[in-house]
Amino acid sequence: MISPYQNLEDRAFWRASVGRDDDAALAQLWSPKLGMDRATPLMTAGSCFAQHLHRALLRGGWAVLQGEDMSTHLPNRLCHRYGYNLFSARYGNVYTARQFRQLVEHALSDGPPPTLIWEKDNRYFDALRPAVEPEGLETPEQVRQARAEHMRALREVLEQAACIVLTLGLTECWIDRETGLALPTAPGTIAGRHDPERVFLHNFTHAEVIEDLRATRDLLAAHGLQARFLLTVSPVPLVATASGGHVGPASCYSKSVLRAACGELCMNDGDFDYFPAYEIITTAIAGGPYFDEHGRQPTEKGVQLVLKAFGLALGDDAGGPLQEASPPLSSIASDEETICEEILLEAFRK
Amino acid sequence: MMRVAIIGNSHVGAYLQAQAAIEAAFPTVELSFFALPRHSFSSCSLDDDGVLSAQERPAGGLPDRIDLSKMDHILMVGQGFGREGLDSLVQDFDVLGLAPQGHARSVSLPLVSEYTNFRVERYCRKLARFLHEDPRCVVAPRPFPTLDMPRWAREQGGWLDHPDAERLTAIWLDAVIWHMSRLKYGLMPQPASLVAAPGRSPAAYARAAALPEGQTPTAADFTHMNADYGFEHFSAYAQHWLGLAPQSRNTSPSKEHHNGLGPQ
Repeated sequence: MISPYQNLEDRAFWRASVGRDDDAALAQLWSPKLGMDRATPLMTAGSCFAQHLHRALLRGGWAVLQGEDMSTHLPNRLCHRYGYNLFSARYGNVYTARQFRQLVEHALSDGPPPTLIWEKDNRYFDALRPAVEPEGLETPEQVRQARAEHMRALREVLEQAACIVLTLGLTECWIDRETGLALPTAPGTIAGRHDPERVFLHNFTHAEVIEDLRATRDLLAAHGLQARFLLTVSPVPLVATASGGHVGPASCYSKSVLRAACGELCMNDGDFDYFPAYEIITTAIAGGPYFDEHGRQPTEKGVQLVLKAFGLALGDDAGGPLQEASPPLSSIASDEETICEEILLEAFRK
Repeated sequence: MMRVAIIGNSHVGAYLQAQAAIEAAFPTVELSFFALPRHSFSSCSLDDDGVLSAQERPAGGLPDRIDLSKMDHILMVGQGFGREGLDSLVQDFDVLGLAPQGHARSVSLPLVSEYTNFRVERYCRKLARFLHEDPRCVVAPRPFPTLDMPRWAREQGGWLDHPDAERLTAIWLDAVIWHMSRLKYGLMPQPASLVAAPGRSPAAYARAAALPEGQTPTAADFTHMNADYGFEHFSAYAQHWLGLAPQSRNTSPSKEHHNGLGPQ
């Protein structure tokens, strides 16, 4: 052999493989190491990009677990406004590996789940998922009850999941000093008040991200749950940074840490795989980048390519054009009356 | 004569059975009736001449059209205003802040309110399209089930059977009043005199109370009213919307109907 690159496949070479979005090129973007097919129960969680994945996987016919399902009761708009059916359970956006770790810890704990409650205008919010009740609840007790129900539902999802599709979004995180709980958003953003005595900003390191993800896997295994992780990194940049720096470099740092942590886990740990959704959206590898005019949200085409690459890499022929979602809205499909034809007929017969 | 069309769904039956009594009490009123096939707005169309026609064959013997252009007033009865949505939500979930019903899952009251609002708004949009917001039209919600509705029929009663029915009823009715206020139709909520309790009609007005002896009532006989209700409801309508007071009568429209004095 003259060179170690001599007999490599096309995908190892930039010129031969980058910039193409045809099926053959997309199929080469990812070599799955976890055995998966359309029947594999998938759990989705993560930052807002995970919502795109959840929706796209559902549309694509993958076996996405849906805890706390409200699709048969509510229209999509209301489902989503109240945090239902955005992910595999109603946990809201999970931006950091620490958040996901604590979520799993709480769900698998036998005791009552820790609750951190924020107040705004006499309404009460679950600080660990403040957006799921946009109007808040009447009492702190209602928040605790809702959280307990959520944890039961989440535990059921975890017990069924064979693969957790976790999209990591941030390294910057606000931590509650008293409880040590990682918050999805700073107090004062949705509810609560920012008090530097009560919360502090932490920017997770590569080592911490890896530790949190491994600890989550270990915790699941300790409970006899065998779910493995398919990691992705959200291509959506930070909306703001509290680090004191410019949002651009801060965003790049976050994504780099997360991407490197995913890479290391993928290389060294059989329970973790990495799917390059981040690269498909943000780089030229599949003809991108695929961002909207504001340069922040991925375009629908980009999301479709992500799902297509996902399916094609798994040998799925149905990686082609996607079907529009057809949610089971049977119970809300009609406003018409209960059929009581015989009553009317009886009246006319008289 | 003042020509009044009573249109709607199976709830038209109560007025049809009371027709003779109504026309006797309101001698200047001439009634016409029309029921939508399958009780579906989409089963009918209103043409440019004001004729409302069934797009499909109505069930046996029912009129397949009514010329609304000849009517002075239109009373559209039995409208659900999305009540079914609230039914299904409350039947499957506890509502945080309301009396627990033993369901494994809860939803919040703001969600219940928003969903109710969504259903009512959607219903009102259909209503608006149906009669092109004809200002002659007054819309009456479906009557509440009667107070004596047995437990085995509770599925028909939905959230009206909830211990906090008053609060739920208020959420629904507020949404109905708000969305109907934006249409050119009139709205006639169930008159207080025909309400026995929050979300309940008096037992005496149930079809079940007027069934021939020996006939076993079904669940629908507690959600549909008899001729007495039809008469009283129309009287309230006539007084408020037509400016007419009833002439006195001595017998129950239900009895008149069963004695063969009803519409033939």
